Amino acid sequence: MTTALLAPAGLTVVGLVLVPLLLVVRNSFASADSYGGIQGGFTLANYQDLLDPIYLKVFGYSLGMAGLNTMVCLVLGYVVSYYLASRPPQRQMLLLLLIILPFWTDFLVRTFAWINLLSPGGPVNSLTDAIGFTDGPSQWIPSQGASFIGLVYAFLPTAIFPIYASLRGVDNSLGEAARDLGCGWWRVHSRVLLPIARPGMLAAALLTFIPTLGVFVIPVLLGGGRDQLVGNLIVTLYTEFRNQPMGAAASVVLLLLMVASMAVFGLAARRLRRKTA
Amino acid sequence: MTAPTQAPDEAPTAASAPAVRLTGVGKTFGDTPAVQDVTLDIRRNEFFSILGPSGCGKTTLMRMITGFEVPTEGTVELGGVNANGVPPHKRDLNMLFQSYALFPHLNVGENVAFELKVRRSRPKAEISKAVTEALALVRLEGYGERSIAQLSGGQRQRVAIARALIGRPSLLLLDEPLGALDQKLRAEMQLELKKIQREVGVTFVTVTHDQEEALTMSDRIAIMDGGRVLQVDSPEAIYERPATRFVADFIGTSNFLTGTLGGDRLGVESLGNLAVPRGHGLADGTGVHLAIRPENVRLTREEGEAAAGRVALPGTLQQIVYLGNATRYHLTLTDGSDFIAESRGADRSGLAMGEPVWATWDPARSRLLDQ
Repeated sequence: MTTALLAPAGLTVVGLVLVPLLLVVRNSFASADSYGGIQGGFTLANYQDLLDPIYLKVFGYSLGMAGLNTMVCLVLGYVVSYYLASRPPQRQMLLLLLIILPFWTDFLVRTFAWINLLSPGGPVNSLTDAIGFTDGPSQWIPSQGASFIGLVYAFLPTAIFPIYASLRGVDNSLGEAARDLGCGWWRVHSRVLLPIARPGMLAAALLTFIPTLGVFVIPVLLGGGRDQLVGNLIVTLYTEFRNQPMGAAASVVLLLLMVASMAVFGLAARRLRRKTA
Repeated sequence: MTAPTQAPDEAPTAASAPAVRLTGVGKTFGDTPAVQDVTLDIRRNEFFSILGPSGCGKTTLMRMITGFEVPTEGTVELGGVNANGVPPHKRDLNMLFQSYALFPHLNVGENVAFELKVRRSRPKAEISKAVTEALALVRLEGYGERSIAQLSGGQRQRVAIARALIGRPSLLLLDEPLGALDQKLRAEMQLELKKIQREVGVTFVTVTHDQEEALTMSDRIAIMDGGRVLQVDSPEAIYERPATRFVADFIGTSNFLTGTLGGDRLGVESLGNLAVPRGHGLADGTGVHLAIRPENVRLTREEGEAAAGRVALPGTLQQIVYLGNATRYHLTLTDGSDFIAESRGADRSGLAMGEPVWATWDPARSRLLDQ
């Protein structure tokens, strides 16, 4: 009976996730025909080709960007979450709504909005002109910096929610107790609030780091496609290079990177639980 | 009547200065005054209570002593030093939070050790010895490794006390310390807190709305209402010699008769001229309240049964309420007002409900209040 009830879900997972995944793994060991299609056979050549410094650089750059993005999102996410959690409950709901609001707009549209915001003579440019930081139209797009802003923008809400969730229930008096027991502003955070927010920070890191590795729209639109993330590499291999087996190999490596980082986060989470249990 | 505030001691030096001296302290939130013109001294090593109904400003007053609120008027001195502008973490005092505010990410021992680790670097062995002692003080030996989630409410409070006292502050402020405990535990902790206070010799200042709590634990009590301190006195003096009608009503129960003073008599409309305590020092013609505690009222069937010199008022017995350790008699006086008498133990008066009776009392045991 249970088996019968589970069948639809099981079939969906097998048909839509497992089978395509196994196909990708299978293709990554195949060789390409002259049009870039799958020719069959078994070879490790695709993985060997990925060891080329050009590709290694992409993986290294992706890990670096994902790491940096995660750190910036954690810091900003903590600051925003702390602010949110210390507001009166009614105000918290309103502010949360403002954070969720952009999700109701298509991601692509929001990324295009950044192109307008950052364009020469655009709103950001006018602002920096007004405060004397720049003088006249500035070319910020496409650039690595614009691409990074796009990444932070995309993942900040995802980082805020788990951190906010871990700080929300925290009694105001905990911070006061810390001050009462001799903590200045910094140590109230470092000794009490940050440790309490740690499970949320960990979840936020997981939700930011892993998806960043697979991002491909942002570097194309805001970064001009010069600095590629793994996601861009896969798209390039499949579409421009028309090398399906190698694209599959890159996908498998990305998958392994994600599994590895999940394992690391999982271990960290388990250590944290054991400590507080 | 006596002034509601207390005269400061003469020329304090740092060593003899009171633990806390408030001079003209006031706090206004927006347009709403929460605390107004509070002047009082809290002596070293005394158990001091700030007692009042909710919203009377007692919590705000305490938060100004801790430094979490900044007074809009007046000065707060701690140990003879002006503390205005000193942030909470630089004040030599600790607070026991109503919610205990224990740190959930630390175990019992780490919670207790928190202040020593933050305030100064000390050798590990010294800290762990201090933690052991602090836990022994609150009778939680061997609980150091437990997590906060494993503790009962009463145990959490003990941990909070140990944490607040480990650095031997000169002052401990307790915010409704027993509010979250059940009746039985509360009575136990009242005695326990008093014992701990004597043992460590730290000035305790507790804020409470529970008069029984304040009366049992305190050396002195400040009664607050509407942002003002109405009286600062020993529990006995507060009960026996309340300074205002509010105090007489808030602490215990009182009957009030309102009238105009003429010599040693109080003219009360439709009840007549009643004898009042001698030597009250109030001018004739003053409008005053006469406060009579129910336990000082005797009931008799006939006016003549009352002993000479007692005031006697006729009324009708409405209800007899048995309270366990006492019996309470509710009467209606001839002017329609309610009046309460109380005797110890079960009802032995032989009176029946609806019967006409006389309420009598010794004028010396009543009290005149002009505010």
